[in-house]
Amino acid sequence: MKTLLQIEWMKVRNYRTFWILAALFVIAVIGINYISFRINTEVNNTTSAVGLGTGNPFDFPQIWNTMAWMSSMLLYFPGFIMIFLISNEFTFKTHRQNIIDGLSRKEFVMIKLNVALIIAIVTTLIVFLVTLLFGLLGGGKFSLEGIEYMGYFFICSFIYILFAMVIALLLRKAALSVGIYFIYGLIIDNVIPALLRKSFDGKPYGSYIMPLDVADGLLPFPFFKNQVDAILKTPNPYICLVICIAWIIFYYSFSIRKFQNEDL
Amino acid sequence: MNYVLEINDLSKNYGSVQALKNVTYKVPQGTVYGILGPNGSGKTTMLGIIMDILRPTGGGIKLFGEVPTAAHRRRIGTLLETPNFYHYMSAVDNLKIAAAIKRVENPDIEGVLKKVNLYERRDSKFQTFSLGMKQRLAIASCLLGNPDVLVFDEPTNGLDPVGIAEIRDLIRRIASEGKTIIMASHLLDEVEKVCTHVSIMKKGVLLANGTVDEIMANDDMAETGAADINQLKQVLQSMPGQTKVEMGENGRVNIHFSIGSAEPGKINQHCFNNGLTLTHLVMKKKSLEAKFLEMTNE
Repeated sequence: MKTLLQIEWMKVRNYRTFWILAALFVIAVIGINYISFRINTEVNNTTSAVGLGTGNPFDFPQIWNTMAWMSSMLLYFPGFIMIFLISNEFTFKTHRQNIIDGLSRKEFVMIKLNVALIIAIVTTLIVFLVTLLFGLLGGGKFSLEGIEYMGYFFICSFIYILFAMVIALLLRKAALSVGIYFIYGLIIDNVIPALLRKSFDGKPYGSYIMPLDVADGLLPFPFFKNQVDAILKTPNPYICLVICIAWIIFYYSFSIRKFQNEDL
Repeated sequence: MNYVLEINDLSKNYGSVQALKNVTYKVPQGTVYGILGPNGSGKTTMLGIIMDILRPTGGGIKLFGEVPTAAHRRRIGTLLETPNFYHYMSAVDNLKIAAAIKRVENPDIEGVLKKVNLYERRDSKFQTFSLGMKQRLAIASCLLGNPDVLVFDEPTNGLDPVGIAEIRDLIRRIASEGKTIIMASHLLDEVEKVCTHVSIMKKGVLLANGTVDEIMANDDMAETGAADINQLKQVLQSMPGQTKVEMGENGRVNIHFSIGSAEPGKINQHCFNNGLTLTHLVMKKKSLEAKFLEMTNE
């Protein structure tokens, strides 16, 4: 597996799009959190925020939840990276050449699944470091309480990346995959659970059945917590976690089976 | 005899289209095996199945006498259909990836690039290459690790006449080292010039296979000419051992014999004895092209 990872590293090392998207993701994570940090500060300065939340969302320990939730809106970036890494192989027909040269079909798809895992880990690491930065600069007292939200964020990003990979495996073309992934994730995946809420008496069952929304359910809305909990019934993160793990197993077996059995 | 490749009753359907119909043959070690057929005859489909990028509908293959695995493919240098490389990477980096996949220790990347005259452009990105250069890089990639078996699908595609001659020389040189080469082509000339064995395919069916001599020659023929054509015809018809006398092209007369029995000296002697002087006498093997057209035109 080490040799195979080295081969993947050679593929991305010279791939400029990869590095640009990665840099944009880092900038966007810092940016989106900074904007909400500023807004939050303004709100706290101008109004009496007592009773709105259970504390400042940008202080430890709430910051783990806040930054994970904010950053999860940017998970399309690592998803795009995954789509390009897969669709490149199809565009250049190097998925065929790699097999011809002596990778087994299973090796080829397993290494891509491992790349997805590594991207999810690095994505989480970036968000962890930015969270640490904001939390410490904010002057609050450091706390590891609520660090589990980083774990949830990791599962969430892994789901977004694997979902992107499966779309790219199915559609093969970069532009088409990116378009469908983005529109689906941004609109369809959110609209259907919202519509279903009515028929489920306001309960969030719809969120459990959508592949991306169930991952979003791992990270609860961090602002005005008391109000939100009272008004809106949010998905249970533990149920979401179980469903997410089931999806991960499904994506793995689907990818392997598809790549092993079809004409390349 | 050891067989590098054994194909057994291989079939492949694309929906309702049958691209391969029960193809069976073997490629002996050390041969230059040409697979000949018009466009769409199933050559690339067959090589694709051998290389595990296509799934057969029926039948099976063996590589080096065993059920094929990725490890067997690493021992074969393959150029299939088009050169497939990462567009944004240089020639050297692309070959590094290929060598890593083939598990070649200390690959001689400079050496293979020199062999195909790409050394000067080794650091250029693949996307800046012309079609001929891409093709040559693909051949360089095949040579990595000095494999004992090479598979070339239309190796001279996109090359200029000089490039074609170079690749032909390269193939001959590789063959002279005792390596096995399997080459698909629709260019008869190419196959005729370098191959020892040939199989002819059409619409997914194997029409014939064997050594080039076996396939090409089912009789010997001599093309003759003289001042008086009618007299020549009469004289030749009286010659013992001939199987057929017919008018050829440009006012020549063709005389046929069974395989291996035609001797130009005897023809000349026979005509001279009958008071006729030949102005033209050429021994002709039926060309692969004629044979091919004859076979594929049903």
